[in-house]
Amino acid sequence: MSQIKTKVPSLTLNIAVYAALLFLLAVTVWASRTDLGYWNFVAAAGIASLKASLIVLFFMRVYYAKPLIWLASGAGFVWLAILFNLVVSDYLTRSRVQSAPVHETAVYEVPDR
Amino acid sequence: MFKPASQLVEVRADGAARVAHQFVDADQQHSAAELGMWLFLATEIMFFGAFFLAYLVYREWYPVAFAMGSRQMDVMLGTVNTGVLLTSSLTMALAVRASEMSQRRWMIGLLVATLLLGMVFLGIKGLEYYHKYAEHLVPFAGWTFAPAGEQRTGMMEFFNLYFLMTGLHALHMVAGLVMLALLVIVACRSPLRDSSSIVVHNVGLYWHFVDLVWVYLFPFFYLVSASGSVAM
Repeated sequence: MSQIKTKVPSLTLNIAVYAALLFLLAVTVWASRTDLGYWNFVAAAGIASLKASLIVLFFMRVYYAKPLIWLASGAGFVWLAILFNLVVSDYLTRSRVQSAPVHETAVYEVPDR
Repeated sequence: MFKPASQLVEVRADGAARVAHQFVDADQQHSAAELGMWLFLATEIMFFGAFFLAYLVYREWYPVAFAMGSRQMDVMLGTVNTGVLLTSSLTMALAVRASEMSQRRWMIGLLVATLLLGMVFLGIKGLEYYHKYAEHLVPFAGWTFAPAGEQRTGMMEFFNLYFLMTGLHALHMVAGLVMLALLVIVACRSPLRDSSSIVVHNVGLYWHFVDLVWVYLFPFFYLVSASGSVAM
Protein backbone atom coordinates (compact mmCIF):
# COMPACT_ATOMS: atom_id res chain seq x y z
CA MET A 1 0.00 0.00 0.00
CA SER A 2 1.56 3.22 -1.10
CA GLN A 3 1.39 6.21 1.12
CA ILE A 4 0.53 9.65 -0.21
CA LYS A 5 3.78 11.52 -0.61
CA THR A 6 3.40 15.23 -0.08
CA LYS A 7 5.74 17.85 1.23
CA VAL A 8 4.09 19.54 4.16
CA PRO A 9 5.07 23.21 4.51
CA SER A 10 6.29 24.00 8.00
CA LEU A 11 4.30 25.95 10.54
CA THR A 12 6.93 28.70 10.45
CA LEU A 13 6.57 29.08 6.69
CA ASN A 14 2.77 29.33 6.93
CA ILE A 15 3.02 32.03 9.58
CA ALA A 16 5.74 33.88 7.64
CA VAL A 17 3.51 33.95 4.54
CA TYR A 18 0.61 35.20 6.67
CA ALA A 19 2.78 37.94 8.18
CA ALA A 20 3.96 38.97 4.70
CA LEU A 21 0.32 39.15 3.53
CA LEU A 22 -0.65 41.40 6.45
CA PHE A 23 2.42 43.57 5.83
CA LEU A 24 1.47 43.96 2.15
CA LEU A 25 -2.10 44.81 3.20
CA ALA A 26 -0.73 47.64 5.35
CA VAL A 27 1.53 48.79 2.50
CA THR A 28 -1.31 48.88 -0.03
CA VAL A 29 -3.56 50.90 2.31
CA TRP A 30 -0.67 53.27 3.03
CA ALA A 31 0.13 53.62 -0.70
CA SER A 32 -3.50 54.53 -1.46
CA ARG A 33 -3.25 57.51 0.90
CA THR A 34 -0.34 58.92 -1.06
CA ASP A 35 -1.11 60.74 -4.29
CA LEU A 36 0.91 58.95 -6.96
CA GLY A 37 -1.38 59.82 -9.86
CA TYR A 38 -1.50 57.00 -12.38
CA TRP A 39 0.96 54.99 -10.29
CA ASN A 40 -1.66 54.55 -7.55
CA PHE A 41 -3.40 52.03 -9.78
CA VAL A 42 -0.14 50.33 -10.73
CA ALA A 43 0.89 50.10 -7.05
CA ALA A 44 -2.50 48.67 -6.00
CA ALA A 45 -2.54 46.09 -8.80
CA GLY A 46 1.13 45.20 -8.26
CA ILE A 47 0.79 44.65 -4.52
CA ALA A 48 -2.41 42.65 -5.08
CA SER A 49 -0.53 40.42 -7.53
CA LEU A 50 2.30 39.96 -5.04
CA LYS A 51 -0.23 38.88 -2.39
CA ALA A 52 -1.98 36.62 -4.91
CA SER A 53 1.37 34.98 -5.79
CA LEU A 54 2.11 34.25 -2.13
CA ILE A 55 -1.34 32.69 -1.69
CA VAL A 56 -1.10 30.57 -4.86
CA LEU A 57 2.49 29.40 -4.28
CA PHE A 58 2.40 28.67 -0.55
CA PHE A 59 -1.18 28.46 0.75
CA MET A 60 -2.36 26.66 -2.39
CA ARG A 61 0.92 24.71 -2.48
CA VAL A 62 1.65 25.19 -6.17
CA TYR A 63 5.32 25.76 -5.27
CA TYR A 64 5.53 22.15 -4.03
CA ALA A 65 3.22 20.67 -6.63
CA LYS A 66 3.97 18.46 -9.62
CA PRO A 67 4.60 20.03 -13.07
CA LEU A 68 1.09 18.96 -14.08
CA ILE A 69 -0.40 21.18 -11.37
CA TRP A 70 1.87 24.06 -12.38
CA LEU A 71 0.46 23.72 -15.89
CA ALA A 72 -3.18 23.42 -14.81
CA SER A 73 -3.00 26.31 -12.36
CA GLY A 74 -1.11 28.47 -14.84
CA ALA A 75 -3.57 27.77 -17.67
CA GLY A 76 -6.40 29.81 -16.15
CA PHE A 77 -4.15 32.82 -15.62
CA VAL A 78 -2.58 32.53 -19.08
CA TRP A 79 -5.97 32.53 -20.82
CA LEU A 80 -7.05 35.44 -18.64
CA ALA A 81 -3.89 37.30 -19.66
CA ILE A 82 -4.75 36.79 -23.35
CA LEU A 83 -8.26 38.16 -22.78
CA PHE A 84 -6.93 41.18 -20.89
CA ASN A 85 -4.18 41.83 -23.42
CA LEU A 86 -6.49 41.92 -26.41
CA VAL A 87 -9.24 43.98 -24.79
CA VAL A 88 -7.02 46.39 -22.90
CA SER A 89 -4.80 47.09 -25.91
CA ASP A 90 -7.97 48.40 -27.57
CA TYR A 91 -9.94 50.20 -24.84
CA LEU A 92 -7.09 51.62 -22.77
CA THR A 93 -5.34 53.11 -25.78
CA ARG A 94 -8.33 54.75 -27.48
CA SER A 95 -7.88 58.06 -25.71
CA ARG A 96 -4.18 58.03 -26.57
CA VAL A 97 -4.70 57.65 -30.30
CA GLN A 98 -5.88 60.94 -31.75
CA SER A 99 -7.71 59.64 -34.78
CA ALA A 100 -9.63 56.98 -32.87
CA PRO A 101 -13.08 57.89 -31.56
CA VAL A 102 -13.13 58.35 -27.79
CA HIS A 103 -16.11 56.93 -25.98
CA GLU A 104 -17.14 60.13 -24.25
CA THR A 105 -17.08 62.19 -27.42
CA ALA A 106 -19.07 59.68 -29.43
CA VAL A 107 -22.46 61.26 -28.81
CA TYR A 108 -25.06 60.68 -31.43
CA GLU A 109 -28.01 63.01 -31.80
CA VAL A 110 -31.35 61.24 -32.07
CA PRO A 111 -33.73 63.52 -33.97
CA ASP A 112 -37.29 63.94 -32.70
CA ARG A 113 -39.96 62.68 -35.01
CA MET B 1 -9.02 -8.12 -18.43
CA PHE B 2 -12.16 -7.59 -16.40
CA LYS B 3 -11.72 -8.04 -12.72
CA PRO B 4 -14.43 -7.66 -10.13
CA ALA B 5 -14.23 -4.32 -8.42
CA SER B 6 -13.84 -5.91 -5.02
CA GLN B 7 -10.44 -7.24 -6.02
CA LEU B 8 -9.21 -3.90 -7.21
CA VAL B 9 -10.40 -1.74 -4.36
CA GLU B 10 -7.53 -1.93 -2.00
CA VAL B 11 -8.43 -1.67 1.64
CA ARG B 12 -5.69 -1.60 4.20
CA ALA B 13 -5.97 -3.99 7.13
CA ASP B 14 -7.14 -1.23 9.42
CA GLY B 15 -9.56 0.00 6.76
CA ALA B 16 -7.75 3.32 6.56
CA ALA B 17 -6.84 3.76 2.90
CA ARG B 18 -9.06 3.21 -0.07
CA VAL B 19 -7.97 3.65 -3.65
CA ALA B 20 -10.67 3.69 -6.31
CA HIS B 21 -10.12 0.91 -8.86
CA GLN B 22 -9.20 3.19 -11.77
CA PHE B 23 -6.06 4.41 -9.99
CA VAL B 24 -2.69 2.71 -9.63
CA ASP B 25 -2.08 3.99 -6.13
CA ALA B 26 -3.10 6.60 -3.59
CA ASP B 27 -0.55 9.04 -4.92
CA GLN B 28 -2.08 8.97 -8.40
CA GLN B 29 -5.57 9.33 -6.97
CA HIS B 30 -4.36 12.33 -4.98
CA SER B 31 -2.90 13.98 -8.10
CA ALA B 32 -6.04 13.34 -10.14
CA ALA B 33 -8.24 14.96 -7.50
CA GLU B 34 -5.95 17.97 -7.24
CA LEU B 35 -5.81 18.34 -11.03
CA GLY B 36 -9.61 18.25 -11.24
CA MET B 37 -9.91 20.98 -8.64
CA TRP B 38 -7.42 23.19 -10.49
CA LEU B 39 -9.31 22.74 -13.76
CA PHE B 40 -12.47 23.87 -11.96
CA LEU B 41 -10.59 26.82 -10.49
CA ALA B 42 -9.32 27.76 -13.99
CA THR B 43 -12.97 28.20 -15.06
CA GLU B 44 -13.55 30.27 -11.92
CA ILE B 45 -10.51 32.44 -12.69
CA MET B 46 -11.96 33.22 -16.11
CA PHE B 47 -15.45 33.76 -14.67
CA PHE B 48 -14.25 36.41 -12.23
CA GLY B 49 -11.65 37.65 -14.74
CA ALA B 50 -14.39 38.79 -17.11
CA PHE B 51 -15.86 41.01 -14.38
CA PHE B 52 -12.45 42.47 -13.59
CA LEU B 53 -12.05 43.25 -17.27
CA ALA B 54 -15.45 45.00 -17.30
CA TYR B 55 -14.30 46.98 -14.26
CA LEU B 56 -11.12 48.05 -16.06
CA VAL B 57 -12.96 49.19 -19.18
CA TYR B 58 -15.63 51.15 -17.25
CA ARG B 59 -12.90 52.66 -15.11
CA GLU B 60 -11.21 53.93 -18.24
CA TRP B 61 -14.52 55.36 -19.45
CA TYR B 62 -15.54 57.01 -16.16
CA PRO B 63 -12.34 57.78 -14.22
CA VAL B 64 -13.82 60.67 -12.22
CA ALA B 65 -17.02 58.84 -11.30
CA PHE B 66 -15.02 55.77 -10.24
CA ALA B 67 -12.83 57.95 -8.02
CA MET B 68 -15.98 59.50 -6.51
CA GLY B 69 -17.38 56.00 -6.02
CA SER B 70 -14.32 54.64 -4.24
CA ARG B 71 -14.37 57.65 -1.92
CA GLN B 72 -17.78 56.45 -0.67
CA MET B 73 -16.20 53.19 0.50
CA ASP B 74 -15.46 52.43 4.14
CA VAL B 75 -11.70 51.73 3.92
CA MET B 76 -11.54 50.83 7.63
CA LEU B 77 -14.16 48.07 7.37
CA GLY B 78 -12.63 46.90 4.08
CA THR B 79 -9.16 46.64 5.61
CA VAL B 80 -10.44 44.77 8.66
CA ASN B 81 -12.37 42.40 6.39
CA THR B 82 -9.28 41.74 4.27
CA GLY B 83 -7.38 40.92 7.46
CA VAL B 84 -10.16 38.57 8.56
CA LEU B 85 -10.11 36.75 5.21
CA LEU B 86 -6.30 36.47 5.14
CA THR B 87 -6.42 35.03 8.67
CA SER B 88 -9.04 32.50 7.55
CA SER B 89 -6.67 31.47 4.76
CA LEU B 90 -3.94 30.84 7.33
CA THR B 91 -6.25 28.70 9.49
CA MET B 92 -7.36 26.83 6.36
CA ALA B 93 -3.74 26.17 5.30
CA LEU B 94 -2.98 24.92 8.81
CA ALA B 95 -6.11 22.72 8.76
CA VAL B 96 -4.83 21.06 5.56
CA ARG B 97 -1.46 20.59 7.24
CA ALA B 98 -3.12 19.04 10.30
CA SER B 99 -5.13 16.64 8.13
CA GLU B 100 -1.93 15.49 6.42
CA MET B 101 -0.29 14.91 9.78
CA SER B 102 -3.40 13.01 10.98
CA GLN B 103 -4.03 15.51 13.77
CA ARG B 104 -7.80 15.18 13.74
CA ARG B 105 -8.60 17.44 16.69
CA TRP B 106 -6.38 20.23 15.38
CA MET B 107 -7.91 19.86 11.95
CA ILE B 108 -11.47 20.16 13.27
CA GLY B 109 -10.54 23.14 15.45
CA LEU B 110 -8.86 24.95 12.56
CA LEU B 111 -11.74 24.21 10.19
CA VAL B 112 -14.19 25.64 12.75
CA ALA B 113 -11.93 28.71 13.09
CA THR B 114 -11.97 29.16 9.30
CA LEU B 115 -15.75 28.78 9.30
CA LEU B 116 -16.17 31.41 12.03
CA LEU B 117 -13.80 33.86 10.32
CA GLY B 118 -15.73 33.40 7.07
CA MET B 119 -18.95 34.22 8.91
CA VAL B 120 -17.34 37.33 10.44
CA PHE B 121 -16.34 38.42 6.93
CA LEU B 122 -19.90 38.00 5.64
CA GLY B 123 -21.25 39.83 8.69
CA ILE B 124 -19.01 42.84 8.08
CA LYS B 125 -19.87 42.71 4.36
CA GLY B 126 -23.57 42.71 5.24
CA LEU B 127 -23.03 45.71 7.51
CA GLU B 128 -21.31 47.55 4.66
CA TYR B 129 -24.17 46.70 2.28
CA TYR B 130 -26.60 48.07 4.87
CA HIS B 131 -24.59 51.30 5.16
CA LYS B 132 -24.62 51.69 1.38
CA TYR B 133 -28.40 51.13 1.38
CA ALA B 134 -28.85 53.73 4.14
CA GLU B 135 -26.73 56.18 2.12
CA HIS B 136 -28.92 55.56 -0.97
CA LEU B 137 -25.99 54.17 -2.93
CA VAL B 138 -27.67 51.01 -4.17
CA PRO B 139 -28.56 51.32 -7.88
CA PHE B 140 -32.22 50.55 -8.61
CA ALA B 141 -33.00 50.36 -4.87
CA GLY B 142 -33.49 53.80 -3.43
CA TRP B 143 -30.61 55.40 -5.36
CA THR B 144 -30.64 59.15 -4.84
CA PHE B 145 -26.91 59.83 -4.94
CA ALA B 146 -25.77 62.10 -7.79
CA PRO B 147 -29.32 62.28 -9.18
CA ALA B 148 -28.73 64.40 -12.24
CA GLY B 149 -25.04 65.25 -12.43
CA GLU B 150 -22.91 64.21 -15.35
CA GLN B 151 -21.21 61.59 -13.18
CA ARG B 152 -24.49 59.79 -12.47
CA THR B 153 -24.05 57.04 -15.07
CA GLY B 154 -20.46 56.37 -14.07
CA MET B 155 -21.27 56.31 -10.35
CA MET B 156 -24.13 53.88 -10.93
CA GLU B 157 -21.82 51.74 -13.02
CA PHE B 158 -19.27 51.74 -10.21
CA PHE B 159 -21.85 50.61 -7.67
CA ASN B 160 -23.41 48.10 -10.09
CA LEU B 161 -20.01 46.46 -10.47
CA TYR B 162 -19.33 46.75 -6.74
CA PHE B 163 -22.51 44.93 -5.75
CA LEU B 164 -22.25 42.42 -8.59
CA MET B 165 -18.62 41.47 -7.94
CA THR B 166 -18.66 41.52 -4.13
CA GLY B 167 -22.07 39.79 -4.23
CA LEU B 168 -20.73 36.97 -6.41
CA HIS B 169 -17.71 36.78 -4.13
CA ALA B 170 -20.02 36.53 -1.10
CA LEU B 171 -21.99 33.73 -2.82
CA HIS B 172 -18.73 31.86 -3.30
CA MET B 173 -18.00 32.41 0.39
CA VAL B 174 -21.37 30.89 1.30
CA ALA B 175 -20.58 27.84 -0.86
CA GLY B 176 -17.20 27.57 0.87
CA LEU B 177 -18.84 27.81 4.30
CA VAL B 178 -21.24 24.97 3.40
CA MET B 179 -18.27 22.80 2.35
CA LEU B 180 -16.39 23.64 5.55
CA ALA B 181 -19.45 22.79 7.66
CA LEU B 182 -19.79 19.42 5.88
CA LEU B 183 -16.10 18.67 6.46
CA VAL B 184 -16.46 19.45 10.17
CA ILE B 185 -19.56 17.22 10.46
CA VAL B 186 -17.89 14.29 8.64
CA ALA B 187 -14.63 14.72 10.59
CA CYS B 188 -16.50 14.69 13.91
CA ARG B 189 -18.32 11.46 13.02
CA SER B 190 -15.60 9.33 11.44
CA PRO B 191 -11.84 8.85 11.76
CA LEU B 192 -9.43 10.35 9.25
CA ARG B 193 -8.43 8.27 6.26
CA ASP B 194 -5.41 8.63 4.00
CA SER B 195 -7.75 10.06 1.38
CA SER B 196 -9.21 12.62 3.80
CA SER B 197 -6.33 15.02 3.37
CA ILE B 198 -6.99 15.46 -0.36
CA VAL B 199 -10.62 16.40 0.33
CA VAL B 200 -9.51 18.96 2.91
CA HIS B 201 -6.79 20.16 0.50
CA ASN B 202 -9.32 20.66 -2.31
CA VAL B 203 -11.75 22.58 -0.09
CA GLY B 204 -8.69 24.58 0.98
CA LEU B 205 -7.83 25.35 -2.65
CA TYR B 206 -11.36 26.67 -3.16
CA TRP B 207 -11.20 28.75 0.02
CA HIS B 208 -7.84 30.27 -0.95
CA PHE B 209 -9.22 31.06 -4.40
CA VAL B 210 -12.08 33.01 -2.82
CA ASP B 211 -9.45 34.87 -0.78
CA LEU B 212 -7.51 35.51 -4.00
CA VAL B 213 -10.52 37.21 -5.62
CA TRP B 214 -10.95 39.46 -2.59
CA VAL B 215 -7.24 40.39 -2.68
CA TYR B 216 -8.00 42.11 -6.02
CA LEU B 217 -11.51 43.35 -5.17
CA PHE B 218 -10.32 45.23 -2.10
CA PRO B 219 -7.78 47.61 -3.73
CA PHE B 220 -9.83 48.05 -6.92
CA PHE B 221 -13.00 49.19 -5.14
CA TYR B 222 -11.73 50.65 -1.87
CA LEU B 223 -8.28 52.02 -2.51
CA VAL B 224 -7.65 53.07 -6.10
CA SER B 225 -8.18 56.84 -6.44
CA ALA B 226 -9.31 56.95 -2.82
CA SER B 227 -7.26 60.12 -2.48
CA GLY B 228 -5.53 62.76 -4.55
CA SER B 229 -5.94 63.50 -8.22
CA VAL B 230 -7.52 61.31 -10.85
CA ALA B 231 -5.21 60.23 -13.59
CA MET B 232 -6.10 57.29 -15.74
